[in-house]
Amino acid sequence: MKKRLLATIITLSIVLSVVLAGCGQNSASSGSGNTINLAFTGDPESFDSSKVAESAANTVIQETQEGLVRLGDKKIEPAGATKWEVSSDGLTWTFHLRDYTYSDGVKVKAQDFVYAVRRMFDPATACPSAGIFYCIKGGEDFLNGKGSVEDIGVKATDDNTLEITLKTPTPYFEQLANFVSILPLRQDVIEKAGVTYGTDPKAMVFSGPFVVDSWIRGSKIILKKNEKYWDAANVKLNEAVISIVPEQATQEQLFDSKGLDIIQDVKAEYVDKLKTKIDAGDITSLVGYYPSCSYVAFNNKDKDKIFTNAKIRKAFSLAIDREAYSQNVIKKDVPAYGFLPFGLNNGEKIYREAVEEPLKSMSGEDPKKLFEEGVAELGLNTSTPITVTFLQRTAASNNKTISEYLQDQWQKKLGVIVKIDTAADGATFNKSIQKGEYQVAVTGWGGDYNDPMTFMELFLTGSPNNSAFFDNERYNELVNAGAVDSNADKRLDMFREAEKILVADNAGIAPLTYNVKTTYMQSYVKGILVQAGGPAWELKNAYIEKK
Amino acid sequence: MGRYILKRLGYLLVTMWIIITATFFLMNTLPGDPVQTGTKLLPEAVAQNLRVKWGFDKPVTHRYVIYLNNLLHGDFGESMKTPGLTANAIIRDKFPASARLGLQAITFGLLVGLILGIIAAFKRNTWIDYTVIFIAIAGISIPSFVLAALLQKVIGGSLLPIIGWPSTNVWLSGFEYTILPTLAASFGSIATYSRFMRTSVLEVLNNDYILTAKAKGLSKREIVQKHVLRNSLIPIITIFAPQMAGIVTGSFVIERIFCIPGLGMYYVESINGRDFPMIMATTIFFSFFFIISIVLMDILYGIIDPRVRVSGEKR
Repeated sequence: MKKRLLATIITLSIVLSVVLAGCGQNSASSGSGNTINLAFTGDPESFDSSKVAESAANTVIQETQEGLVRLGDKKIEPAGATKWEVSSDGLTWTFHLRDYTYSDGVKVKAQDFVYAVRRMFDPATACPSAGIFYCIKGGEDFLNGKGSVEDIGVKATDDNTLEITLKTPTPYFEQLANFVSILPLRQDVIEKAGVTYGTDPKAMVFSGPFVVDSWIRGSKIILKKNEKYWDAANVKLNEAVISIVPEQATQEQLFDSKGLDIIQDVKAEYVDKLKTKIDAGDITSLVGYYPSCSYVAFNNKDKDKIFTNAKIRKAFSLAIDREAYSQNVIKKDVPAYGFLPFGLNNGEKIYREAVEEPLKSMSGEDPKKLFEEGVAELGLNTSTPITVTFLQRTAASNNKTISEYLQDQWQKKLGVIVKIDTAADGATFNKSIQKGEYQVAVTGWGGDYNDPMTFMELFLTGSPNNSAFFDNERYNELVNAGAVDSNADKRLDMFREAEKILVADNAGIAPLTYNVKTTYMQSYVKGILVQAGGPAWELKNAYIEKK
Repeated sequence: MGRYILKRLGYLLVTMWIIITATFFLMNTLPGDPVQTGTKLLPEAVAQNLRVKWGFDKPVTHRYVIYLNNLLHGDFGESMKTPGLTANAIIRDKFPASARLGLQAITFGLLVGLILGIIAAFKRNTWIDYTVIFIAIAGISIPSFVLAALLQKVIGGSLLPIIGWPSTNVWLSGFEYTILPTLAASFGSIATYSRFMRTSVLEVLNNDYILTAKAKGLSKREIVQKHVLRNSLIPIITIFAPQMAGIVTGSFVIERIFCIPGLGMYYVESINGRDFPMIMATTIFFSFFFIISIVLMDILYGIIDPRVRVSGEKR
């Protein structure tokens, strides 16, 4: 027995000494030359462009594949396609491809785009973003198992010409062309990899400015310059190391020690710490907007009747002090008096700059009076105070702060009683909202593409994400007309009226804030592009000026 | 002994089956549609395709049979959050990092904890004893994420890397990456072990056989080695086994702070993301480890203390 114990101790110490002997090797040495250090908060789901719909995956895919177009500085620029034409009825888009190749030297052909579009609509692929491309003729039918794959409106007239036929005119189709789901895909590569395609970068080919050199899940992704890229002469970075750093505090420590070159979405406390460095010129900051808006959703089909009344909804909306909310309660973002955020284009113009926010002109109205009128219209019993139930997303402290602030505002200004219910977790909250099992809640929406439609279509009657169950005939009419009109000025007028119906006249929802996207970077990072939507950043023209 | 182990393994299978069944059906009562976990609702046709892909169009009992059958063939299924990647591949890929961190933390924590405990017991009511008690209280009351952030701030950066983990030769290379996480992960167990060990040693020291040993004229070292150490290890083993399973299979907090590509995050995130195959895989994996370590613990009892007879055999 004694010997056995001794043997155990000896084995343990051998194990320990072997472990200790491994000391001193550095396995994370980053390459020399122009390297940028970046971070994601989580791993991408996959690099299969037909199967992902989240930011980290989209960002890497956009850096490593070249589709028809590329999002340049606030506008769509030619990329894989040098030019394109739209037929006079707005239904046929013809893209002319340049001669360019994948990282293995094989030419990118128009047929590869055809394959990608067909794969996206294939029920077996189960592409999460297929719904965005329902505008392509025959796509929705094939997805539902009704049509055949040949009926999908996409064909290659020759190796360099791609023709896409739409079901209805979609003036913003070039914005959609930037989406990852229609990047070129090589059938032979995908068939060889089978279901594992997108999990192993070594079994993939890349047509973009960078290739994925390696991906160690939960640790880092290394991008290297793609020497076969058609515009390789203008790509200055040799390497991008993207670490997976879920913890905000860790990102801050890395950024402080220059182990990280860019940091986004930081907390207000950390911004204060950065101020001195910004003043000293060590750090540059870029303030922009996410194409997203957080809002109070009223259940327009409320079983208890209260929120079916437009005046009551409007009263609840006007009772919120949005300035105080963004400055003192959530301490970030900017107050929203409309639904469509900054950074969305309508044609050449920025929508929000051209259209005044509808709630701005309504500040004179008295919420209490509106509320009483609404209550009278509904014929509710006013002998006891009216009680409404607010559904809080989760028990997290930031959600609690938000609901308590709103509770306080409504109780004080309208004389209602606001009860707070808390959902168990995000998935439960989503389900209650989607099924309409709530009265009032705070939620939000982020745009999928750069056009007002990505917001306006949300509140069409019966739209799957119409969480407020907003139902307005005039709104539907305007938005459906705006969707297909190719005249930018006419669209602007239609969307202006529709937005006014949504947030002011009918008050289906109460916008709270537009989300601000602030990027801080070490001052030696140059040429990087940070957009409102799409990828976290665009590295094509980025470089590091000597450290 | 052999029969005893066989019997325990039989129990293990039954326990595992109960765990699998309970988890499977409980998981399916979670609210929320597993293919609609995002804040954006997918169009119904798209969602339906996903449901068919993951088998959610079939009734739950039917799925249970399919799942058990796959499991018998060692197939945990494809993770819903990472298309193309199976849960098997994820565990194979992630477990080494968690296991290495866990083993290092356990070895370090156990060695330091035991030594501190013994010293404290022998130097009872001196400043050494008070220091050890202080460390123990601090170790239990300071959360590991606070300690981790402190270590990163004070030692990380210039001396040791703040984040990262060796990616090639995962078991042996890149020791400097593992130092801070090991310290952070083992601090709590140092505290626990030293406190338990101190109490346990004090109890043993009061026994008559120690007095006998002293009377025989044994040196202090011999007394500690032959009589004290072994007899005071019993309570340590009791707390060691469950801790071992917990630490080796991954820590959510430590791995998150130090960006270690381990299994820890999957326990939490698979549930929040309703990633059913991954919930099952992590639960099965963890419970298997846990039960195995309890069996080992029972066997170890018998080895360390002959008074404990595991199989009811006659002396």
